Amino acid sequence: EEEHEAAPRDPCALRPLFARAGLLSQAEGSAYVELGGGTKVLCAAWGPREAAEPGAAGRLLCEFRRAPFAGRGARWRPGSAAEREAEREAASALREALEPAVRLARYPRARLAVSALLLQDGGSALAAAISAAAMALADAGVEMYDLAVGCALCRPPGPAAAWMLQPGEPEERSAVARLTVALLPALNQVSAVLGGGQGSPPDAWAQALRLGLDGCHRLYPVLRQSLLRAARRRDAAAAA
Amino acid sequence: SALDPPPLGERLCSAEEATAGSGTYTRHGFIFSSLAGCLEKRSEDSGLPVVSVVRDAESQLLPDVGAVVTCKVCSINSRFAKVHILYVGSTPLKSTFRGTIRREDIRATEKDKVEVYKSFRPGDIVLAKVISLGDAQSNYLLSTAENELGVVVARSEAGVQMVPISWCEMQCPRTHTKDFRKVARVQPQFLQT
Repeated sequence: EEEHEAAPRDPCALRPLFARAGLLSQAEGSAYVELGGGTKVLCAAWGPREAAEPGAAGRLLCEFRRAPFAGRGARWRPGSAAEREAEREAASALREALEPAVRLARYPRARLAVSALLLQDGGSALAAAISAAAMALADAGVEMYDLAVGCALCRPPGPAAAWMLQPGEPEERSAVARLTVALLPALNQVSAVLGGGQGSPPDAWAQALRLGLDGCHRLYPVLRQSLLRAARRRDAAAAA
Repeated sequence: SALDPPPLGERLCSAEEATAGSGTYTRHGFIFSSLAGCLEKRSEDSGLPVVSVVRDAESQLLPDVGAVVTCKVCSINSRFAKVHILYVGSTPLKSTFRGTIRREDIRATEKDKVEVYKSFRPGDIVLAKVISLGDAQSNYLLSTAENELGVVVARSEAGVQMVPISWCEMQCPRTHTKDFRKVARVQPQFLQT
């Protein structure tokens, strides 16, 4: 891909999204989300198992892994501490975004596990992982209040620069502020606001949040539709 | 089926038209679905119909208080027996949960005269009822203090499956030795002849 000065893009444009659930036979629930421009996330989820330290409500364990071939060029030495730290941070961000969506009180003394694998990083990876993980949990039959939809934004350098939805990888790298929001659209509840940066007046952040939530609302029907298709495929396979 | 399964988070109906069943939750006076499954509307005689969402595979079943579970004894000592819970009702669990049957919960009568060694042995299959989910330190608490609960399958020292002769004894059909167990009185319709 060319790195020359790209024509100014529409900041509210959403990249084309492809989502498919129920594609792994080994895991109880699975989902694959791909954003146009090369972000690919594969996610698997497992239903209630006995928890090592049981509590009154269930626990959600999230894991985020970045494939060694996910980024362009060598970013970190595979297995280095920096990479593990970034993966741990992404996993705890995933947990923060998903926990409000799952009905943990229905699974006392049990643990639910979600594992996300980033196959290719083309920007907005965490947002795609949040959506994929929520779909995988729903596909596994875990009771949830709603699907959590993730959307990323970033603000390029410059005094009058506007926030952009779903940045690509070069845009994300050169941005001065990045944000990932996670929304439960049917209940209109925000489950996570992650990220930060510098150089914006406060009302610009509020406007960025609104832009992100609007993006989440627009992505929601696509994810719901793919879950519906997965349910129909499962019913057809069970009937056959 | 002709109707599509209701998607997750779909608003099914108002909370005044029906009561929320399994797989649903109530918010802001409406009933939403919390599972991607099939919608079921059962009409109850008293009052509103019950709306629930079910998925075909009951894979998300967890032992609940009051449920009858089938478990396998893994170890015993003088105060309790440790078991692995295998089935909840008639559905197998995908992963086993641990449970504990305390000495005072083995029988309903003469609780202080109970000997765990004469009620269960490791390897026995036991029908028990969940009395408590337990706290952070303990496992599920189970009880066999009813006539229908207790050992259903046990092997003698010779390795042969024993036959129950009373509520407290089982006999090996090959060596005719009697062993003590807290035997379950299984309802006749569940016995295979």
